[in-house]
Amino acid sequence: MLVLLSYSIHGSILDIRARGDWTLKNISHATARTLSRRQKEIIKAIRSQKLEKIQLNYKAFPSQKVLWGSFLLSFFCQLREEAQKKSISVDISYLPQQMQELLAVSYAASIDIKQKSNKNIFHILGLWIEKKVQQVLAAMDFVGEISLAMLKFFAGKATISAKDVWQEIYNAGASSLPIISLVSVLLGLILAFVSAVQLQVLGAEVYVSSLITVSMVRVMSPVLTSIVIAGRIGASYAATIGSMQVNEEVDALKTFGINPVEFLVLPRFLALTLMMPFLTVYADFMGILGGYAVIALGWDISFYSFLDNVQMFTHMHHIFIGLFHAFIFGILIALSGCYQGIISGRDAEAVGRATTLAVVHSIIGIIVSTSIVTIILSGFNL
Amino acid sequence: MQLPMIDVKNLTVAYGTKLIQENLTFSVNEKEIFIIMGGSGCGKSSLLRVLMGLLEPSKGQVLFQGVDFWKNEKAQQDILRSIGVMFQGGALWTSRTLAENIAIPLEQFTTLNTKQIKEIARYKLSQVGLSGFENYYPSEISGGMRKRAGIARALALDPRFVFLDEPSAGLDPVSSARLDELILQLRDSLDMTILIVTHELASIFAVADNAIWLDAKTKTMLAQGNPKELLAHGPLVVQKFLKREAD
Repeated sequence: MLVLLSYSIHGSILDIRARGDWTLKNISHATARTLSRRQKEIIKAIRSQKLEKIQLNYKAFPSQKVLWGSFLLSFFCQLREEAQKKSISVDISYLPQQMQELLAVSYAASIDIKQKSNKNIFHILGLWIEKKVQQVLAAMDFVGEISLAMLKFFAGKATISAKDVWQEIYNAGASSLPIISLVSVLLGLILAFVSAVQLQVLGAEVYVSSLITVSMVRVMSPVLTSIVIAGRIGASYAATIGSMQVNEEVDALKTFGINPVEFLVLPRFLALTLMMPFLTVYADFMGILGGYAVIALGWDISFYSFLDNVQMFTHMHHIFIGLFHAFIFGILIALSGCYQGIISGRDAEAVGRATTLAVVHSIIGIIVSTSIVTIILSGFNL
Repeated sequence: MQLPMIDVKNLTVAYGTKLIQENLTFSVNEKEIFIIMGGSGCGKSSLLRVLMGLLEPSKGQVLFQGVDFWKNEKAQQDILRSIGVMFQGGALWTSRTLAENIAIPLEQFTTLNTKQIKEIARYKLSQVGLSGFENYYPSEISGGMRKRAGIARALALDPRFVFLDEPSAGLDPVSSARLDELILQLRDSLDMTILIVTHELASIFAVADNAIWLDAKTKTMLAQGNPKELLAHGPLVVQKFLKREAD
């Protein structure tokens, strides 16, 4: 159906006439474009002409129903704003009664306008720096709180439930074994296969066992296990605590005088820090098993010869370095997951963001701390 | 005779084997403000979910101007586009500003350009008293404002039917009264048919043309009529509810 928008100026009066079916369903792409051009012309006329009054008029075509909607009303509101800027009066008395009533509602509502202030680049930069400083301070505050909670725990004064700790130990430990098994066996297989092919060229394939064992025990197992745990457990910590923020469960704890860090963070922190070394030892074993599977199937190396090499080249300090890595990674993952949950916003998107940040920060922390520990240990020839 | 806007016939609402309500039969006429009342947990919101196409009924029919929603897949999209829904908490998309929340359905279902859509979003927000809040995110405004923004979004496509789930819950009496006025204004000015789930007595008496009462014990509809008539002549349990009396 036809839609028309026209205007004419008589002296200081701008007469705007709308006709036809203005419902959203009826506006085609071409009509929207044409109307947009006409709307711009009218606004330009208001801005450039010396006017005292704008007269708004709407009529259906003969034999048609009166059809208008938000599109026409929003345009009339826009005209009113333009008119207000130049102190031009707007006459709506020629519009249908219902339209007048709706315009009156939005007129009244727009009196109290509260816009967000525009900010320049320095303001934005300043706000960004301030935000980052606050984030660092908040993170330090959180580390301080967890340290105090640990002290209270060792003094036997923390508000902590043994049931929660066991539940978290189970979640982080036993329930992670299947995925750790799969990933470690496959990593052992890959390491064995790649290194055996290369060492065969030198006739040194007998050393594959030592290569797999030392690399798995010392660094590969802790790093791989911690990355899996960051995705599986760290993310769940952030999501769980973040959702509790959304549902005001954390606030409910505070109103009872319960410290959320002790109640929610400490069990998770203790469980993960404790379980990471165990999971790493398990991953070491599974990785070496995967490596042996390749050696046994593809190369003529006996089980005893394999074990002999493992014993000869694997020293206790390799195992302790691996366990030390795992312990540090456990702390980092637990801190990152719980911290992101605690500072999460109170909507669905904020929880998603907290979960992502927990994993990203954990992985960055794992890589950076591995580098630092490796550099320090190389200074001690370890 | 004119067809009812919404005609519910012998409807059963259930979640799997768990029966919520059964044998529901009622009609909502054009430009009517229709209230679904009942105690907590009686299945008001579940019935609303069936009416808005989110939950398939176990039995019965829901007809929108004579078209059976659940039997006519082709018509479902058209019917859904003629319904505007405000959820209990507003259910605004938190990553979008208020104006963007309103713009999304307009971008999807109209051919208007960005400027025109922006103007409509501004107008819709002004309709619910949120002028100037176009660039605010849902997390930056109060619960009452989120509800009003939710109504503005429900009105985005100028729907013929508006469903409001607990619009006054959690609002102060003044905001609640303003919302009632807005609902009446929308019905009168835009010829909308409005269906509301609520147990706010003041709102019920202020806006309702017609209402049904759902009973949690018998799991069916106990009464239908104007709330003022139900207050005088309705079943005892409904009278007690409307008088705010304890059992």
